[in-house]
Amino acid sequence: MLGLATPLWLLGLASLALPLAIHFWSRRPSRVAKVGSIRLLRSAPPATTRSLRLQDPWLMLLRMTILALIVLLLAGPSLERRRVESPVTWALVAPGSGARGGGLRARLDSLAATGAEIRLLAAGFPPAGETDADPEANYWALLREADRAVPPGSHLVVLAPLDRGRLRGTRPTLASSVTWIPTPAPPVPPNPLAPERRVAIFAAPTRDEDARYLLAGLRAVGLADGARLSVQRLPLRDTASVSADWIAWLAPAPAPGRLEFLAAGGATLLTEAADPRAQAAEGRIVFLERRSAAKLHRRPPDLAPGAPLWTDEAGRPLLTVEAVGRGHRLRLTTRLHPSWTDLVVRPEMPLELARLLHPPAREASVPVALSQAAPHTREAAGGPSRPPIDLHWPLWTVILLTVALERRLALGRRPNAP
Amino acid sequence: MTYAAPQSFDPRILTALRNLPLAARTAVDGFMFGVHPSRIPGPGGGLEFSQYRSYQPGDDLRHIDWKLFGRSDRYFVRQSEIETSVTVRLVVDASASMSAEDDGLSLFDYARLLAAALALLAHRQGDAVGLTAVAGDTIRSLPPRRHQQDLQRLFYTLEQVTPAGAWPPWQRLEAHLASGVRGLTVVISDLHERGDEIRAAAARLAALRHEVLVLHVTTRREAEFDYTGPVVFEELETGHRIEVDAEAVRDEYLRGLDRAWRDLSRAIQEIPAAYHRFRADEPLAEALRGFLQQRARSSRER
Repeated sequence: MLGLATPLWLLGLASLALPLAIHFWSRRPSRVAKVGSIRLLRSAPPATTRSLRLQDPWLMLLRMTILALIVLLLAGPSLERRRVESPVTWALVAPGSGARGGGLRARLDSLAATGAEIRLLAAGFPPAGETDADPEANYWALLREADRAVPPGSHLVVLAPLDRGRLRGTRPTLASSVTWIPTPAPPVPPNPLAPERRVAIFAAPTRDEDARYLLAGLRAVGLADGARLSVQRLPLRDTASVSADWIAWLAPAPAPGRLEFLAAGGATLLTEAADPRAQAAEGRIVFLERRSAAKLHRRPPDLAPGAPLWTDEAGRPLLTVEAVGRGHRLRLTTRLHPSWTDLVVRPEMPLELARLLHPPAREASVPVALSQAAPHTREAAGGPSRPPIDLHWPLWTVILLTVALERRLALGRRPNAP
Repeated sequence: MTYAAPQSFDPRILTALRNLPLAARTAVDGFMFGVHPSRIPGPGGGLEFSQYRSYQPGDDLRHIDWKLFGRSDRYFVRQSEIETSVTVRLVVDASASMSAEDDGLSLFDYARLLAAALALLAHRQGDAVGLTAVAGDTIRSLPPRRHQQDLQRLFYTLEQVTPAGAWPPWQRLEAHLASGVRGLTVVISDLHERGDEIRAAAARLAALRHEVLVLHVTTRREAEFDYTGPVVFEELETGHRIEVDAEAVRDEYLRGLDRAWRDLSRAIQEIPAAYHRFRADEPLAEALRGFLQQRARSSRER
């Protein structure tokens, strides 16, 4: 399908009337030569009068073609490939769901009978086969990929569980229409009765408030999750006797060696920003993929090592996780204090704390309503899914060839022309 | 015979003078430089003695000088310089077809200049020059005269004539041409006839024992037919039109023209009359030389 960058230039096609007008003006009053005698011309074959009408328009047509091509060139033509392909139907099966139940098998068979391609809802969309479920799969991201891979107007039949954990990011708007057939959630490894988590908070006197906000957050986690937490607040010097599997060190000084040892032994150690060189910061905190409403007020300029869990809006890590031995180090490059971030007074705080307390792999699947999971469908006339072919240079070539042909025809017609 | 600078013959420049006598004089002066006088020795009853020569059998007995025979007892023939002047009539075709233009110069302009140059040339040779301009039914005629005023009148008449109409039948011309003394009659025409009226007139004149010289004037475009594209050709005398593709018919036209001119030339020479063809973009010298040769022949034969 031919696309034009600036179709307004097509108004230039009106210039085609120009050679036409010249042609008719110059032809009607055909040149009159007054001569003494036309006796010798009377014997000329009468057919010649017809040939002059036949020969002229060809040249004129050629010249008009050149004009039209130039106008077309100005309009910036490009060839969109998307409409050439006809829509297809893909049945996308979430990996791991094929193993269960004859109902799904029968459904896939009937879809295949209507011409649908059965593919796995996984990176690369391989043909259906038995694959283990990928707990980290993001269905929405995968559906965006699938939408890009198929011609517009295609139909995607998704056979996947409606699991909130796998619908991350913003709900996509696709060019393809999507039918979501919910399947039962894949079996999660049975959540063993959450063991009691022993949390120890060491807080310097200057950071007493930080400890209070953290305590409040942890209490909220305990209320919401029903997780069993035993939280103790300890003075800084009591590190020797502590035994806990989640330790918060809220002090400007670095964590002592004893706590590092505990972290290496399987505990999680959270440290706060120690740097007094904090700068004013703006924007909000971003948790992994979703932007929160929590504002960031201050942060030190340097960045902590490890994989980021929270970042600021510029993408600089705020909270990083790093594996240390069998445990983890969590480094917070801000403070749990309202003057540093208002996260501590927002409802996101306990949710995030819960994620920090429990590794994400053990997160239970949260069912989502179908109306919330299914992506939107964009109207058919969307932007091109593939870059269009630029017709600039081919058109130039055609114009040059046409001009050459015109010159040849024009000069060839008048061999005796001076 | 020597020539002056060639541009003095260029008809285009000469007609640009817009002064016919001056243009004619320029053309003739350029041409005439070094021409021998018009008097040639010959037998006959001229007044001015030239020489004696011994009698040859066949000489006219009337030319024998009897007094000399009485003195010397031998036959001598008395030779004298004869008057070689002839009567020259210029017949200029001023029919509408002569108004055909060629690069801004009309055929009649050229014919007019040619006639004026010939008149001046003849006048300087001591000939009596007459003019008959044939513009359709309007025929202006000046009887052959020898005087300077007559020449000026001839120039004036030539300037007044505008091409119109078609060549009239002989009956209309007879009164103007058949009268008076015989001599050299120069017909200047493009020879575009409907039938053969111009050739017929030339034949009549030849039959009246005129020495006839036909100067056929043509335009460059007529001879070369360098038109391009579709052209409507309009016949000047009749107004008939024909639309042709010039390139397509050129070869055919040129072949036909070549044939027509050859036929014309043969027909005129059979009259008998002398025939010369000129193109309006050519210098006048050739035309003047043809005229002089013919004049010499006609004066010798007299």
